[in-house]
Amino acid sequence: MAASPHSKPSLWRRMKQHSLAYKFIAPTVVAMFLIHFIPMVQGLYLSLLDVRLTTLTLYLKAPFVGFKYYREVILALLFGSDSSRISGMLNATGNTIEYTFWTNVATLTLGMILALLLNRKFRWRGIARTLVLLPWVVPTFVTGTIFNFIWLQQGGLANRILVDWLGIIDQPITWLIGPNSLYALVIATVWRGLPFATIMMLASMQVIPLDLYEAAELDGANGLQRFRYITLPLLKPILATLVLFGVINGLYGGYNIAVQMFGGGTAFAGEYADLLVPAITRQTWERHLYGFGAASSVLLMILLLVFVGIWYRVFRSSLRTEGGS
Amino acid sequence: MLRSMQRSFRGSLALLLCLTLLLSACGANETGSTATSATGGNAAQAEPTKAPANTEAPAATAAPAATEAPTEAPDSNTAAVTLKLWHMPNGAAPAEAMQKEIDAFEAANPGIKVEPEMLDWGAAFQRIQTAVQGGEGPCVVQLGTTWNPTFAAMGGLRPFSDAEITELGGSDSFVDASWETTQLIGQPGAFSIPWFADVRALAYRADLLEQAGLKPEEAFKDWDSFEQTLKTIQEQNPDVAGIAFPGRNDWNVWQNSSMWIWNAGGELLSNDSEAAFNSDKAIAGVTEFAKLYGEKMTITNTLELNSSQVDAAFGDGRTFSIITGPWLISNARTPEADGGWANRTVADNLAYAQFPAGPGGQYTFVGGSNLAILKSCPNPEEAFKLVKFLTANESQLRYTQNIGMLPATKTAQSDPQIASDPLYSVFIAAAANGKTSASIAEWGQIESVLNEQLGSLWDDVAGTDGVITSDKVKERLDKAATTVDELLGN
Repeated sequence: MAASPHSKPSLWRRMKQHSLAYKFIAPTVVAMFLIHFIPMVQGLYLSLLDVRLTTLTLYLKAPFVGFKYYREVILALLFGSDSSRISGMLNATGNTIEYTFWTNVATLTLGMILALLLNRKFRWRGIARTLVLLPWVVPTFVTGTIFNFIWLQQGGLANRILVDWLGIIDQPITWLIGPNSLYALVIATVWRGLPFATIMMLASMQVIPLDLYEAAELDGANGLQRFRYITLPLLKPILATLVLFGVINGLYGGYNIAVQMFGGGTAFAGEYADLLVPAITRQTWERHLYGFGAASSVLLMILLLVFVGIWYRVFRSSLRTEGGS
Repeated sequence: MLRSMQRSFRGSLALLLCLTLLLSACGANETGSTATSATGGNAAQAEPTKAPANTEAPAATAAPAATEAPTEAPDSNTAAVTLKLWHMPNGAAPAEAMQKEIDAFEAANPGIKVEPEMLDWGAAFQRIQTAVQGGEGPCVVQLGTTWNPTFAAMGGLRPFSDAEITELGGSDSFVDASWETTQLIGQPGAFSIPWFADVRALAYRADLLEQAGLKPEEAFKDWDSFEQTLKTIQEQNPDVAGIAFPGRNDWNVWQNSSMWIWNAGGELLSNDSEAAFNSDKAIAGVTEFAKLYGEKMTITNTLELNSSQVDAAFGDGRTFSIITGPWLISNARTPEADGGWANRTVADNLAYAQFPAGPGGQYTFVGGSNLAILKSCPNPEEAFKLVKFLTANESQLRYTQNIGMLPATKTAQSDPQIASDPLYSVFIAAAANGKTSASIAEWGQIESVLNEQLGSLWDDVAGTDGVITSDKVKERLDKAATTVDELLGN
């Protein structure tokens, strides 16, 4: 990512120069080719075939249908569809975008606040930093299970706090079913992802030279200004990285938590909280529409690539080390 | 300065990479920990028997999963033939229950050695699918009843010959609804043999019913009397809800609704080839079911529960009745120390009733599991011997009682051990009016569509905070019908 903009020597020359290093990475390259590249190409090809239950044994020899499934999804995007198969995908797309947006906004904002707090000197800082890390060592499946208990309408911790302890609301909220379920999923995801964002930002804050702050203080900058003009700009590279990670996790994510939190074994979180990966999984493995599933996955990948393109344009300058400030 | 920042950025990138590696290590761990968390969740709910289910029905939250490994290393002594058997975690102590049958079989058949492997319900379908495709796998395999047509259509199952079926006692010796699940419509013969049946009924508290001065035959007679019963019980016992059933968070979504569809006079499919679950009658049935929540006859949070949580609510005495299966019998007879309910009020007063009749009749869902022999099995004759042993009377009686299910053969069902048991007998009567899914290859897909729309209907119900209209039900079911017809090629 931090590629140098200087003209590069030819690949061949570099390989000769660092032949030992290339020998060391060769096994990895071969393994990645076998493990990543071949299945990816196979998946792309699969999305052009009519692989379903009855043609599954034919696998790659199944009837070629070209862009049929792509056309189906894209036409439905433009004109809508009666079939719950397609409308379910469109609905899941909307939910996924909303989910990705809110998880990122919340994770980055809360992560920044936490990192700023943990960057100050206080008595139990070591313990606080360790505690903040805790949710991150909890596997996502366990997170889902824990939150299933937290969100229970009767006896769940969330309603216990909101109704009995704080008295903010009178009636317990139904979280796991109905319109609130998307937020139930977002909050669980944020809880799990927050430590990572916090640690990354904290690590970056700690390498900001103190003399910058001292100089600013001498010039009469207040706390907010110091944050606005020193901390934030210097955190930009790490924020950019976190946004990238967050969006990838958002678009491809939610499955593990949804499976455990909403249960049912199908990861069907209802129309309010159904996300793309669970939806594609359902279409592919429960309905045996392998070609359709592959095509939807490719479209999801394209959606992500579009985002990465935009991301790169927006953050290009902050990623280039020379333009870092 | 720039240099230091460049270094720091590289430093954080390196850190990021390390963390990513760590993260992926965590990710790798997670697969393993599913098992622990699932079993943990199970223990937390103090569920001795997990709805071990009929179809591909593991509530993911409670599947006792840590079970992939075969319990014993294969014994490489004199056995001439080794049969691999794949089975699912049936009952509270699945490995032990299975081993008892294997020991008995091996004692009766000295030349054959059985090597069992237990598959998690959640993973079983794909494992079997891979075995069918790759041509390598076990000889004998347990199938959820709705899976039979799928694997039969894929050409992976060795059909049972007429002579073999006669040797097993003929198709008439099995419960009718169970035998239906061995077929693939459009092809002759049976592709699997019924092993055990999972029949649904209402479990209720006999003491509360008696206190209310009601007789079971009147209280559960039809929809009206049933609703009246629930209301009466709730009035008399403010802390006890009328009924509990799972909403969307469950594998039994379509099974639970299907009873209301059938009893309203509706069907799931017409001629096994076209969606019929959106007929006016079927809509009336589903609306009637949804009404129970809207008119506050249920536990308030019933829609977010899964089957084992519903069972637990009944065990704790929070609800008068639930939609469930025969496995509660073993709960009631298991001591509390082992996670059962023995000595609780509910255990002493556990009673079952058939689903209240609707305008279209009185039916119940019959699921369960079948045994199939894979085509790739090199020793089909020995495999048949195992299937014969497991479906014979001795094993049927012992195994089904160990796992809390109903035998699949009529002979075993009429055995005094089962037939004269007041709890089991309700299921035997209900099974006579049993209905099940269509024996078509596409059933698994249809089920998935139904679960999606019926599940979303529970979201609608929860969202409206009141009575759901039949228009909304129609909208959902019409949507499902369009998709199902598309899957069926209409």
